[in-house]
Amino acid sequence: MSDSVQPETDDFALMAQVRAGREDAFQALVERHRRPVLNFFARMGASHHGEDLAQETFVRLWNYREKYKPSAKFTTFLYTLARHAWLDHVRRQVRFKTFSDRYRAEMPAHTDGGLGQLRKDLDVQAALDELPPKQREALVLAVHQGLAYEEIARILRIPVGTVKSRIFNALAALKETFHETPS
Amino acid sequence: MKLHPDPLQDPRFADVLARLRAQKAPEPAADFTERTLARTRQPVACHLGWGDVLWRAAAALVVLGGASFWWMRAPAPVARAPSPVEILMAAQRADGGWSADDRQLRARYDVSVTALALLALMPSEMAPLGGPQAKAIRSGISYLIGQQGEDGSFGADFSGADFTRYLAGMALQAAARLADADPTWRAAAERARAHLPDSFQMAKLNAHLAQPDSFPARWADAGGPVAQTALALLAR
Repeated sequence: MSDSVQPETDDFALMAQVRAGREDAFQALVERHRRPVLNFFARMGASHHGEDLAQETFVRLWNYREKYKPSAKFTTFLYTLARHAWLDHVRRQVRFKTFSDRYRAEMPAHTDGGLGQLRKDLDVQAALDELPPKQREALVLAVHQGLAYEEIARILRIPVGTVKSRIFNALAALKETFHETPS
Repeated sequence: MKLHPDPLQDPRFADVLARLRAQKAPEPAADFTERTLARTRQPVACHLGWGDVLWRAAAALVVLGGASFWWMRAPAPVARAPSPVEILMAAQRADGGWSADDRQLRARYDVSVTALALLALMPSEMAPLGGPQAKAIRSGISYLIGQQGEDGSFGADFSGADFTRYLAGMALQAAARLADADPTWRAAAERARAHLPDSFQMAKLNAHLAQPDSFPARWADAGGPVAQTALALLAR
């Protein structure tokens, strides 16, 4: 049997190899999960720091590889690390009055081509950014990362019912925002 | 509104969920994995022995002692450091453009650096075209328009097609919105608009301008002191 990492190897098996110090297994995990992890940070509102935070998440995965216990899903462990990286980032963050804010405010309501689409993209992200952080993280983990309620509950260390109510409230707030600013 | 047992299946939120799911996921850089692996290989912490600690503490005391002696003897400084706005104004060329380097050896960055300088100068006053920067802004915009092709694009002679088009387009749009803007600026901004990068790329670039600390270091390095000064001004 070949010693190299097989593409179909599941996350559990890869993590077992990572725990043994196998860098090729770690590389396979990074390549498998880098896009969703990057998307997590983008949707949390860190698109310009996203790559750095995604890398930080994987560096933590490597550093904490021996703490991983295969009793939980791998993504629960991964997004717990990602969430901690995000919370650390938020603590460090100094908010600026952003150029994007000014640009969005000054854009005409209906523009042609790429600018119209840009406005829509910025509006959806801006609406997400306006949500309370606890609602936003539950929503992003459910909608953008596709995690189950139970998994989100383990990552956030809250009951499943609370996860559902945060997601419900987030969706209700977004519905109201989008109703005020139709696409 | 009554709580649904599964909010993701609640038909009242179908349109909201569709809009969220339509958001395009960002694409990692081609060297993402390589850079991540490199970060895992960096030493985590520096462990010093007591000998090192004592030696460094002694060296620090000597340096501090020398510095305080110099400070007590040195005359009080009289000249104040120039402000970023003054640095930008002084670095502007006679033709209205800005360069990445003193000797203008990197002309391919001229449009981007000029646009960045203008974006930094324009918000520095309530009425930029009525203030001391007016002449610099007007000549900078004239330079940009002079570099614009008939179709509104900024040619292949300049570095980083997306980035150049983006910065130049944004500078022209911002200028066209100023009070007392020249009518030709609006026309130039409209022509540039047709060449702006796609929306996702625009959002990424916007985010860099929104938070200049996040500006990729290699871009800031390539833009030289003018770009770095402009970014410092934008970060305020």
